[in-house]
Amino acid sequence: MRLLEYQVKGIFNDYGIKIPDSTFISSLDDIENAVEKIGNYSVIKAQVPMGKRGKAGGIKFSKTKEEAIKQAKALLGSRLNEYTVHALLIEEKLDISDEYYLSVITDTQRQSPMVIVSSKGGIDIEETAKQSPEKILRLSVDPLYGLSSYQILHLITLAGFKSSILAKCVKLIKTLYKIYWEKDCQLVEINPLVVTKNGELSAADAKMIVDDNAIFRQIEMKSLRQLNETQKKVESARINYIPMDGDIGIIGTGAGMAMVNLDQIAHFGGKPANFMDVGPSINVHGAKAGLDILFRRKDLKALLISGYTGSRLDIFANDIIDALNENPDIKIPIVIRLQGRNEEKAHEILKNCKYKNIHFCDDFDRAAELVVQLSRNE
Amino acid sequence: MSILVNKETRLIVQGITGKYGAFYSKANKDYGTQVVAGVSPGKGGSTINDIPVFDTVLGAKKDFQIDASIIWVPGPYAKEAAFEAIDAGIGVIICPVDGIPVKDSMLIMRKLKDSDSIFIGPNTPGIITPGVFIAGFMPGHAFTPGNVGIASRSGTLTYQVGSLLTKAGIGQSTALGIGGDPIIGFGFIQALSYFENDPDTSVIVLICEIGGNQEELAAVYIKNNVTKPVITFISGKMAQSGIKMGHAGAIISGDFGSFQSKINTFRSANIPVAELLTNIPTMVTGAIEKGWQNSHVTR
Repeated sequence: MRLLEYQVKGIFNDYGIKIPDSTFISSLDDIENAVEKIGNYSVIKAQVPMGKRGKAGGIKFSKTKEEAIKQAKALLGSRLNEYTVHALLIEEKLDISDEYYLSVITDTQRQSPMVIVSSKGGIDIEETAKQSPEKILRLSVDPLYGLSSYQILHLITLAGFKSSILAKCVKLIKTLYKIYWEKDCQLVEINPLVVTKNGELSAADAKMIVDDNAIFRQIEMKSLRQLNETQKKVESARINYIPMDGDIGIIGTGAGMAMVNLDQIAHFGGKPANFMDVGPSINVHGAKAGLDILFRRKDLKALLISGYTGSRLDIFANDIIDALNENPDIKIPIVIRLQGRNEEKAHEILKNCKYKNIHFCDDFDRAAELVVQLSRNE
Repeated sequence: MSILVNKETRLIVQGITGKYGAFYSKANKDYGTQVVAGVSPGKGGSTINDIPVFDTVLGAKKDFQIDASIIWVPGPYAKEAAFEAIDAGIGVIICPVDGIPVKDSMLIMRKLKDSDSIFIGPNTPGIITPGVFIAGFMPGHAFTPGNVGIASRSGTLTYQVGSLLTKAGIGQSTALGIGGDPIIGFGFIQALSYFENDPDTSVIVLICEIGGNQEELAAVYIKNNVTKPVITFISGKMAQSGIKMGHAGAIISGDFGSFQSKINTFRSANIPVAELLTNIPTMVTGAIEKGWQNSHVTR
């Protein structure tokens, strides 16, 4: 789960990390008050969960209140890539002396948290990583013992942090690690960490990704999350669904199978409409939830249900029957290739299905080829 | 023969009275696995599927020799179950649990460093030595005894490949899923090392996918250490690679993890990559006919 900037900054504030003065707004009516509070020089930031937001036009600087109001009005409700801007953060413009980079991330290779710092922070950090990797320093943390001050001091000294901010940065990075650990983060990042001309530190921009598997014990994250109906259904059914641009729907019996289904469809010249893995919850009617989601889409020309599973195919088969009964408008061809546990029972159940446009196919590649052909006739 | 598990392996089921534990302990036992005991706190003294239930792993160990454990408890409780198995000195721990917090997985892996246990998963479909042993989801009829070792990042593709090989008359020594989570225990390198040393494995199939660096590490390991033919498959050509974790993700992973990175790594190490999953049986047959000669070994 990726948090929005204002949500992360709220958490930072709770932990005592200094953030710029700011006001959060989600309605046009509040713009003038917010701008009044911040003053003449302000930064207006779209609250959307995307990287490279500044480069996409989601951050505006203004020198007067009038300009700020104009820019805020234009930005609120506009679209940035695939996101609609529903909220803004109006912030004081900092008097920047230096920009640093700080993050704590889960390093899956070393299976431990990793602290990353650079004295060359700012929007071009990824470029810096490529061009001058020596300017970015990393520290693996033993998850058992956590992060100690001496390690941080060693790291940031090597990274060339100015001596005047060393003590403050040790405290800040310790707090950042504490947030990472306590909030079950996969990533918490400050970029840039601004050092103002007065020598104050301020987390000018902030990112946080919380482990979806840990939401059960991060109760306040649930209230921060904004899921649409489909996402709610996907989550409660414990399936995985990613919509795509094509017109052939896909249901796979696991993430690997769903990916191969996509690859096969592409191989035979079709365009997949989605990625869907119902594997984790076939035994508890994940397939029914998946079918309901796909049947609501009006852009599908055909559907491929293909897989091999150790879960119960008899339950899967009954889910197909139930979903078809509940969605009588569905007319598209459905190609089914289901193998694995209880497959005879499943075939028995599906044989009695009243839906006419159903095509059984035992051959792995042929099933994908067939669904591509059938989609062309629609 | 096989790797890690065989007909002598005595299995304990942690969480045996839960929905998954109850269903799959019976399915695994019916296949022939020696399921000697189960654990379910508070239910000690009862039986389920004719399997005696204990309150703790150590309690079961008093009455039975135990070689392996399978963990069927929900994600929020899996860390403690894993710790219990490690502390009880279980040799092979199989963890199909899906939904373990990453922090918990880091701590499990950290604890394993100070133990001799082998940990398969989390989020593994399990392991099968065809004809004699299954722990996990593996549907037995997809597999048949033979000499192909399979290690896979995907459960469903393991069954599919097992079934394609079985239909082509090619059996398997052992097939296992290394787990779909970002942090896992027993990986491709360990699997390769075990299969290399197993006299009854003659060809190794690795079922790979985008994301992570298991494949890149495996390619280096194969080049330096594996004399048996290895055949690979990579899924996810069309899929968008995982969620990019801010700048930090790009900084630490670079170009690793993409389909192109993985296919290039294998090709430059002369390790064959199947274009379609259905090509695997023919490629395995080809490797067997060529005998033990392995074009990718450079030493």
